Amino acid sequence: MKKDLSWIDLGLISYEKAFNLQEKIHQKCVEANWTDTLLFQENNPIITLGRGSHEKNLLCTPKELAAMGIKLTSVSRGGDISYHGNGQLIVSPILHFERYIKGAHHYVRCLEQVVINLLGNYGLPGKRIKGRSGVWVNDPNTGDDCKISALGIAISHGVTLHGISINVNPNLKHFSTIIPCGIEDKGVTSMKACGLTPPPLAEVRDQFILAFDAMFGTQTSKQTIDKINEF
Amino acid sequence: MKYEIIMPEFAEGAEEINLRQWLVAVGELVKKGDNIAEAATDKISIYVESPADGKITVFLAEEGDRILVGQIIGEIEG
Repeated sequence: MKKDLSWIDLGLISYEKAFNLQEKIHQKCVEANWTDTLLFQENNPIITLGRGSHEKNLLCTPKELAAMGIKLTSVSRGGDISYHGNGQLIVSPILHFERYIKGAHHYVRCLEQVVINLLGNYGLPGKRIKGRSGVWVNDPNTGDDCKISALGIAISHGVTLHGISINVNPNLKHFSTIIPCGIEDKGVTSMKACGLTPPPLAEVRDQFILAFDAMFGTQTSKQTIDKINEF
Repeated sequence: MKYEIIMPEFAEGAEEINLRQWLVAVGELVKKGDNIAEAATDKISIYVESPADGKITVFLAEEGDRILVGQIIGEIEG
């Protein structure tokens, strides 16, 4: 029998506001007052520093970032430094992950596989690179392997937070302000940069849900933001 | 009664787990389920919960230590 899940799309929202909502849902999930949820969002430009961040991977001063309209904040997920911005879909599964999968690392690998399967539906072959998390594609412009999807998660009380991002059509110039995930010798790309007509984020969201349900054996149905605001 | 604080099994598969920080101090009173330590692999932050109500009596791992799944990292007197 498939397990029921909810999905909520916050649309374009500030990182801080979305994270407050994420924490609310997380708390309700921990208390068993809310179904496990896939939370989707698109953020205005922001650089997030994970728990494993190194200062050297931030290549601009906060003042320079501000001049480019990019905010800077520290976050509770694992991983190094990340950029989020318009044209990038962020998915935060808030799950009692062991209901679906054994082991946190297996969970992370399955999340990557969901994105690989999604990209495959667009004719874009995604892959993993050993020792490096996220999903990678061969960028036709450079011939190099570039990251198209980054991830970082946290687990508290057995329930996950944070998640995975997919570069649909972000401003790739903004990534030059950081060494993404601390990886110096590899670049970042997007679905658009790989030659695709960038699909709407809502379409990518729906494709993610289909691929997620197939991978995790779930049945995901829409929930509204109004329900969160009732908390 | 003595309770052991153990690195949870759901971190299995991690090549390296670092004890990033203790969220409590020795002597502090905690409740069962409280987050008392934060550990991390390269991409996963894991919060370690208190196994019981009680007082933290000893840390058996220090911040920055590499730890293993199932390793006892502290004790609580409940």
